[in-house]
Amino acid sequence: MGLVRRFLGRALTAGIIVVASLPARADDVAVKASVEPTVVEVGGQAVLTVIVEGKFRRAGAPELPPLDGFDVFESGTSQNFSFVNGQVQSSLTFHYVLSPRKEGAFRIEPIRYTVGDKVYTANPVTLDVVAGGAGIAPGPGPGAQDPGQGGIAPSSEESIFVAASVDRDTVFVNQQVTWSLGYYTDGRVELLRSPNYSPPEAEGFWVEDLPPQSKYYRTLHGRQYLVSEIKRGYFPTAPGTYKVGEARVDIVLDNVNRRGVFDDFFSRGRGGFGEPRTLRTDPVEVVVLPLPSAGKPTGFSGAVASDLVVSIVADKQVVQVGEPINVSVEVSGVGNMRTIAPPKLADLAQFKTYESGSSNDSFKKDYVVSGRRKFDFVVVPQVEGSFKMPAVRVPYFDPELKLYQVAQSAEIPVDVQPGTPEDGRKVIYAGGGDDFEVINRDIRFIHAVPASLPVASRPFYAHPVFFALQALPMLLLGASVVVERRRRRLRSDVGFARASRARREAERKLAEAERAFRDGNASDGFGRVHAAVFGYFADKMNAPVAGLTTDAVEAHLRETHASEEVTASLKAVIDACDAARYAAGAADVERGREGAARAREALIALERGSR
Amino acid sequence: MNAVPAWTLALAMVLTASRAGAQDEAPADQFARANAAYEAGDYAAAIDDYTRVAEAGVVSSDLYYNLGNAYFKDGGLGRAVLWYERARRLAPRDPDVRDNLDLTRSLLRDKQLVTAEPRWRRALLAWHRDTTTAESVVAASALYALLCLLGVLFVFRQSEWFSRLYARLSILSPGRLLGLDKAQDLGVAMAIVFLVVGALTTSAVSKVRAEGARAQGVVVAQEVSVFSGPSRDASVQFKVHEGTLVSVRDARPGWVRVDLPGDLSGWVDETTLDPI
Repeated sequence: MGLVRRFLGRALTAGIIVVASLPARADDVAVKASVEPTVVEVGGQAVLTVIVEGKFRRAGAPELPPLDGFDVFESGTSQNFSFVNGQVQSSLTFHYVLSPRKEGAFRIEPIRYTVGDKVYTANPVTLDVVAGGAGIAPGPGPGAQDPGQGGIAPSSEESIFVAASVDRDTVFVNQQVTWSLGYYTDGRVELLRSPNYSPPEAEGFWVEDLPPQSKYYRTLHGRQYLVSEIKRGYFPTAPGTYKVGEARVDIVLDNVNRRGVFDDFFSRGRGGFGEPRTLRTDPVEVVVLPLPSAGKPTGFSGAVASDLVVSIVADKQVVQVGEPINVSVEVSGVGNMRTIAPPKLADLAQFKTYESGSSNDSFKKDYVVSGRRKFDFVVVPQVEGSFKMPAVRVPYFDPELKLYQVAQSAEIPVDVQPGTPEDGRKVIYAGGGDDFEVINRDIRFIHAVPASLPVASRPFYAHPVFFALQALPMLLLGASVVVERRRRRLRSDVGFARASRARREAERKLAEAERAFRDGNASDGFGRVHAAVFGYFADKMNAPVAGLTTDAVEAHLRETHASEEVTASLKAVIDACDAARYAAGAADVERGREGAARAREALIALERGSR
Repeated sequence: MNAVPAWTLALAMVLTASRAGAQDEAPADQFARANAAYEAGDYAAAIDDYTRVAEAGVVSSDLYYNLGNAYFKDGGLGRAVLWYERARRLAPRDPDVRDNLDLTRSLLRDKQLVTAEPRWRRALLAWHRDTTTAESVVAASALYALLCLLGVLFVFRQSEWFSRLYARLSILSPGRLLGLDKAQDLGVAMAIVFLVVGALTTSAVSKVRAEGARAQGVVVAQEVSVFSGPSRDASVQFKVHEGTLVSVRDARPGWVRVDLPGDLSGWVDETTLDPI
C-alpha cells in the first residue's frame, strides 16, 4: 500500500502542477513600459506609455511606483480587442505625462498590473532629466484653442478650474472634432495628490486619444495661469446633434499648507486629508452634417478623409497560368482610415481574386488623426496573355473641400505565360491574417459509388428495446447484492440458517418416511414423520430437537398465530406418531401415509402463513 | 453500426416529401452519373444528381462528401461546409472529409470565427470528436455493462469462486502488481471504468441531443446580419458570412438565436441557415 500511496501521491502532484500551469499559460499577459523622450529638461514633459497585451477581458489601471521628483498626469487610455483563433486578445495602452521637477538620472521601477488574481510587472525604464528652461511655452501650444470657446468663462476669483472646447462645432459624418480639456491653475492653491481625470462620455462618436499633454502659460483677467491641456479626437458616426459630455477632474486641495508655486500642482503621493473637490467641464454640442447626396460617385462606401492616396503593388508581373500573384493595395490619408472599406479589384474573367488579409496603422501628428490601410489579395491568372490589372478606385468625401473625390492607383501590366494543364484547375487558398501563405492545393477527389447506399432509418439507440436492455446490467447487480447478503446471513446467523432450511429438511424426512411406509415399515415411518415435524419446529425456533416438547410446539404455533386447523392437524399427526411409537399395534401403514401427508400440508400452510 | 442518426431520417423525410416525383432511377445509378458529371467539370449537374440521391433518403458519408466537393467546385463554400460537416458526422475519421473541410474553412471570410484548437486538446478529445454517435452509444453501453459486471464481482469478492477467478485472471492486473488486494484492485478498476463510462455517456448524450435538437447550423447565405432580437427593427450587431458554423440556441417563428465563438450571440433569419 505504501508503494501505491507514493505512486498516487506523485501522480496527483504531477496532475496539480500540469493543471496549475494551464491557466498561467492561457492568460499570457505581457506588460511593457516605455518612456519617450528618454532625455528631458526640468519642467519639460515625457510620455510614459504602458501597454498591456494578452488574453483577458476586464482589468483596471496599472499601479505606478512612487515617482518622486515628477508631476504625473494621466493623459488617456486606448484599448483594442481582437479575436484570434476564437479567443479574445486585448491590448490596453495607458499614457501618463511625466513632468520632472529636478535634474538627475531616474529609474522608474517595474509597473504592476493585476489581471484576476495574478500580478504582472513591466520592465523598468530610465529617464534622464537635465537642467534647462521651464519647458513651458509662453502661450498655447500646437493646436491649443482659446478655452473661452464653448468652455467655462473663468471668474477672477477662481484659482483652479477646467474648461473644455472643440476646434469646430459643425462637422460632417466621420470628420474629426478635436476636443480639448484645459486645466487652469494660478498657483495660489496646492494639491495633495495628482488630479484624477475622467474623460467625457460621448455617444455616437468613435474616439481617439491624442497624446501628449501640452503645457503653457496663459493670461486671463490679468492673472497668469499655468494651463495643462489634454486633447481627444472625436469622429461622429451618424448625422445629427451630439454632445461630448462633461469631463471630470478630481483634486484634493491642501487647505493647510498653501505655498503658491506652480510646480507642486501635480505632486504625487504626499498623503494628508485635504479638501476633495471635483472640477467639471460643460458638455459641448457638435452638429454633425450628413454627407451631401449630390455628386456622390459610384462605389462610394462612406469613406471620409483628406488627401487620400491609393497605391498598388504586385510581387510579380510575369507569371504562369495558375501561379498566384500577391497584390497589396495601400490607402493612406488624413482622417479615420477605419472607415475605408476594402477596395474591390475589378472583376476580370482572366483572373480569380481572393482576399487574404488587411492591416491598419494610425498616426496622430499635431493632434490630427491620419492613417494607412493595407489590403492584401491573391490574384490567380486563368488564361495566358498580356493583361492590365485595372486601377483601384477609392471614392471618398473630403470634408475640408466639401467635395467628393476619387483616389486612384496605377494599372499593373501582367504577362501570363502558358502553364501545365493542371495549373488552370488548381484552387489557391489563402491562410488568415499576416501569416498569409499560398499553397497550391486542391480539395481531395470525390469518392466512388459505395457498395451499399443505406436509407435513413431509426437509429438503434432511439428504440425502446435499447433503453430496456440498459436496465439488465443494473438488475443483475441488484440481484447479486440480494443473493450475497442472504449468503452472508446464512453463514453468520445460525437461527436464520436453520429457519431457512427447516422446510427443506422436513420435506426430506417426510420423503424418507413415505419410503418407509411404502416398504411396510410403519414404525420407522412414524418415527421419521415425528422427526420431520419436531425437526422443523426445532429449526424454526433455533432450539435443540432433543428437548423439544409437544407443549413447546403448541406454544410456538400460538405465538406465530397459526390457524386452529393447522394446529389441530399437526397435533393429530404428533399424537399419531406418539401412539405408533409407544402403543403396540398403532403403527398402521395407511395411517402413517395419511399422517405424513397431513404433516406436509400443515407445514406448507405454516410456511405460507409465515410469509 | 449500420444505424443512422435521427437527423438524417428527418432530413431524408423532408427532402423526400419535397421531391417525391424524382425516384425513377436507382440511387446507385444517379450517384454514378453525378460522379461522371463531376469528373467532366459539370458541377451544377453533379450537385443536381447528388441531391436527388440524398432526397431518395440515402444516408452516406461518401454521398455527402461528394456533394460537398461539388458545391466547393461550384463556388458554394457555405453549402460545401454544410455537406462536409454532415459527412463528418457519419465518418469522423475519414481523412478526405477532414482535409477538404479544413481547406474550405481556410477560404471562408469569417476565418477568425473558426476556432483553432490547441493540438493537445484536439488529441485529448479525439475519442469524442472522431467517433460517430452510434459508436459513442455502443462504447458507453458496453462499458456501463462492464461496470455493472465489475460491481457484481465486487459484491462476491469474498466468495471462493471469485478468489479462484481473480487468481487466474489478475496476473497482469496493475493493481495486483502494485500490491493491492483483490478488493482494492477491483475498486480501482471500477473507479477507472466509472470515469470512462461518465465521459463516454456525456459524449454520447451530447451527440444524440445535438442530432435531435439540430443544435448546429451553417450559414448558407452570402452575408447575414445578426440582429439583437428576433426582428428586423432590432439593431444589427455584426455580420457573418457563408460557411460560418453557429450553435443554435433558441428559435422563434422565422428566427433563430445563434451563438458564435467569442461570446458573440444574436438572432438571424432562419432561412439563412441550414442545420447540420
